[in-house]
Amino acid sequence: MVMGDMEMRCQLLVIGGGPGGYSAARRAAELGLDVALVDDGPTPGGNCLHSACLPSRHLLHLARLLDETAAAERLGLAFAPPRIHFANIGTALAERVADEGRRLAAEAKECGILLLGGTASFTGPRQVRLHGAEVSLLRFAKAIIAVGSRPRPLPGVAAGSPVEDIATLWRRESLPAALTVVGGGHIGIELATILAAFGCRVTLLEKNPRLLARADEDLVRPLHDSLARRLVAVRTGCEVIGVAPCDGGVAISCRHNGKTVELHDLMVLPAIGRLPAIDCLGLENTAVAVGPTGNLPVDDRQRTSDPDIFAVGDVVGDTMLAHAAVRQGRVAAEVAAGLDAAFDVRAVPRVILTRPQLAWCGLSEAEALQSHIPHKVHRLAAPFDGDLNQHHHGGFFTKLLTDPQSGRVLGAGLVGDHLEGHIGEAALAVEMGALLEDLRLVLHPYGTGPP
Amino acid sequence: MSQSFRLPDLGEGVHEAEILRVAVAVGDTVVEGQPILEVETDKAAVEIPAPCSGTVSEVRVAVGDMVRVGDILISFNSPGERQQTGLVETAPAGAAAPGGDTAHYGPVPASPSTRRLARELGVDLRLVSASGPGGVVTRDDVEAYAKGRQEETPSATATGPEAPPSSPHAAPSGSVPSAPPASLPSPAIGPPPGPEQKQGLEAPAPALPDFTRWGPVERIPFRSIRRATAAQMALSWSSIPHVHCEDSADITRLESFRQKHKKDIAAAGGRLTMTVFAIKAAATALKTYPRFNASLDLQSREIIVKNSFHIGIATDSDHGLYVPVIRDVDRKSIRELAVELHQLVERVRGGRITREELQGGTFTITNAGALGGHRFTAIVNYPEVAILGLGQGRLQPVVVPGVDGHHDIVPRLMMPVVLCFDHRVVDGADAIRFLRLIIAALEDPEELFLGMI
Ligand SMILES: Cc1cc2nc3c(=O)[nH]c(=O)nc-3n(C[C@H](O)[C@H](O)[C@H](O)COP(=O)(O)OP(=O)(O)OC[C@H]3O[C@@H](n4cnc5c(N)ncnc54)[C@H](O)[C@@H]3O)c2cc1C
Repeated sequence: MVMGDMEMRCQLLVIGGGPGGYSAARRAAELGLDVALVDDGPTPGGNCLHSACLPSRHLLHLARLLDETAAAERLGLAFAPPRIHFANIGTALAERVADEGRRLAAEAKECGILLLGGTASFTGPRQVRLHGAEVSLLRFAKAIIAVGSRPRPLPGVAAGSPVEDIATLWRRESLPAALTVVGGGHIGIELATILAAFGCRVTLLEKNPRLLARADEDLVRPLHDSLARRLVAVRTGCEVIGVAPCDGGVAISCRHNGKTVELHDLMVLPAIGRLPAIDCLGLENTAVAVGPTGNLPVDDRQRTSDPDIFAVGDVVGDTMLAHAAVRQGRVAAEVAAGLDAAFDVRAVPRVILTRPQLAWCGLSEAEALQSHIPHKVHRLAAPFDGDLNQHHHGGFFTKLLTDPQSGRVLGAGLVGDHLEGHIGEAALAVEMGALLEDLRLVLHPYGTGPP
Repeated sequence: MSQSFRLPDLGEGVHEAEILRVAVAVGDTVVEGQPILEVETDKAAVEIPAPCSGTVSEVRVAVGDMVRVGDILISFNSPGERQQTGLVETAPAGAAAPGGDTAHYGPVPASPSTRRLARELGVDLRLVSASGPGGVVTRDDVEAYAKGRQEETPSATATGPEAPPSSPHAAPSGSVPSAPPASLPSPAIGPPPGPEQKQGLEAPAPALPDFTRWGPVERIPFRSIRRATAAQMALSWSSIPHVHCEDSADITRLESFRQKHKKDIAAAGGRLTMTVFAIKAAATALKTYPRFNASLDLQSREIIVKNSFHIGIATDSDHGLYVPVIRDVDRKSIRELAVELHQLVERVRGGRITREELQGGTFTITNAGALGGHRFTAIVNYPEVAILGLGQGRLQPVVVPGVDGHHDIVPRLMMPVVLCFDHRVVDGADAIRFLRLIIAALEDPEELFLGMI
């Protein structure tokens, strides 16, 4: 048979091999479904592995090493100045990504998942056409859409402007000496942190009056101050409306306090949000309804408006986090297999790996005020301290929101370092309906955390 | 300081309500207790008073919206005094559940594994009473609830993991029978329900054809009172073996009695209608034949005979059918009944009836006479045992014994009466005796109302 002419059938088709799609395929295979996973990347892993989470985690780790070795000098331990070969770093990173991708591919095969490389688009409510795959037509009983997201394009970019894409930034031979990050969300802030640590002169522009508009203002303030010290400038309330090349660099037009200003830099890196990647998916050939931002609305069982087609991960357009995508994928697989599962998470933890770090989960103070949810705010010097205040660190604090009637913990926000453990504990408290007292009565080991 | 008002827990498994009326607008000053909203649930229309005094800062709902328990409806800015607690937000006083237990805001506290168990058992966590600290629902609570529910409704659908994953609201439907009926029996006009209706509302009906093939159609949402009425009717029709017993009463004398006293009663704020006399006559008959004032408890295999006499009156209104209840009719005079009935009917029509006023009936009367209805049958108001229907009194030629052995044909005012009853609890002979007693009372007003006016 000629390649590309083959037709196939499967019980469950998963489109997209990122955290959402991959976990869905694995869970469904575990439950005995016959699963095909289509992804257009070189290996499974999705954007998360190839261009988003893993590369940024990797480089944040290096950035931390750079910061800490520099800071060690204050404590009497001096290192030679680091020699940064970004190309070498890129090679090591690419190897790590490839390793992880191979591991995922092997594991998928072991579970009996049929991996198909290619791009899928629906040609009917129960069939997709595959481009660039060994199979051209695939009929399915149920499908899970996990195509993820792509960067929202910056408006008004003139041809030839030096604009870098997050996905390809990691593969550069070297970093520019100076660069402007557009967008003060968690991605923009982490990128700015990485680039600054590698010696790049970074300017950060944000349209909203403050950074991280989705987090509580008091959590963001210490981070804003720290970024303002590390970066060339942090400008909030500054909306980029156009980008054009100009002798050896780039001219960035912005609206700032009602005036149009022009800034100059060597390069622009947009991080102004992400859009569901449904463009070539052929959803018009299905009964799947598309939401206002091109997202796919789902119920708590991850079902779209076609109950046999599910959507998980960034394409749903909600939390846009890898761990949420993983859970959603598992739920969709279980529901597809006839189990009674639901995405029933009350505390989605978020951690921003900056300096200081930010983490929050559950109800935020801003949300409580906006939705008039009765709550009480407690401020602690360190996470959940009870008896002993460990070291007080300038700017670090913990905030807990409780239900005024019952004392149950509804949400937590933390500013500090090594927060991943603490935010997990806070998430557990929210999920279990724990009282503030419970959190405080748990003994926390002395001598851990930042020195 | 701002306070938000959420849809309070209305009890009895009511999760959602439709907004019927919004009586305030942003900027209005309200006084605590002043009506701000009117909502309609499956069970009744309820007027909601302002939980506090203040200025309305936000109205989040509009007429026709469906809202769920816990949704924010209206926010207030209350003047001056900060509360001692110093909280930024406080729970509105009106949100306390009628049962006195603390109302739930937002999600019910329960651990993830408990929530999963509840989902798998089809248990709505809001209905489970919590035993944990701070109102946390535990695994044991969920299991106990599921077990209790199973015992309550042995016929309830499977609760295993293979139960359909979809409908979180289908689960509590097993508790509908225990809820006191609110709205009810109308004269069943037209043929009796077909077999598919007998299986109740939950049974899957075959798909309908596409009616637009034969002409334009309009689709009207099937909800609130209409849906509750349908559920109640289907339940009654499917569980009660109905028998009808028809007759007519000569109300010629009663009518002249009524004409004579109408004005007095009107002066006292009442309306002297045939229904008022029928209530009194029914009270006498119910006292004589207490099995008509009962409910059948299949689970305990007992007939529950009630020693009080609370009569529901089927009342037609713009918002649908309601059955407000007059309590202790045996202890009330004709005048009192006429006044109370008039007020109840006015409250129903004005949409101001409360849930309490719709509960606890022991017998029901439906009078189709005012609408010109003559002969009809009715459906028993489950879980009662019988319902009495009255038709329009019309002048009819009646053969009466005359002087010297001849018979005379004379015009008499004849009112059709029908008694529909649960043949599991009472028999035809009882029903005839019961109905004859009512007829006798209606035909002989002096006897009926001796010392009662
Ligand atoms: C710089 C950056 C850092 C981040 N860091 C974190 C972090 O630290 N922690 C965190 O939780 N989240 C992080 N995120 C967010 C995280 O990457 C996403 O939430 C996550 O990747 C979503 O997973 P997904 O399964 O929805 O899809 P993706 O990971 O986006 O994968 C979708 C896959 O589907 C493929 N695909 C798309 N269309 C088709 C088609 N038609 N046919 C076949 N295949 C198709 C794509 O090529 C891709 O391989 C970060 C994002 C960015 C950009």
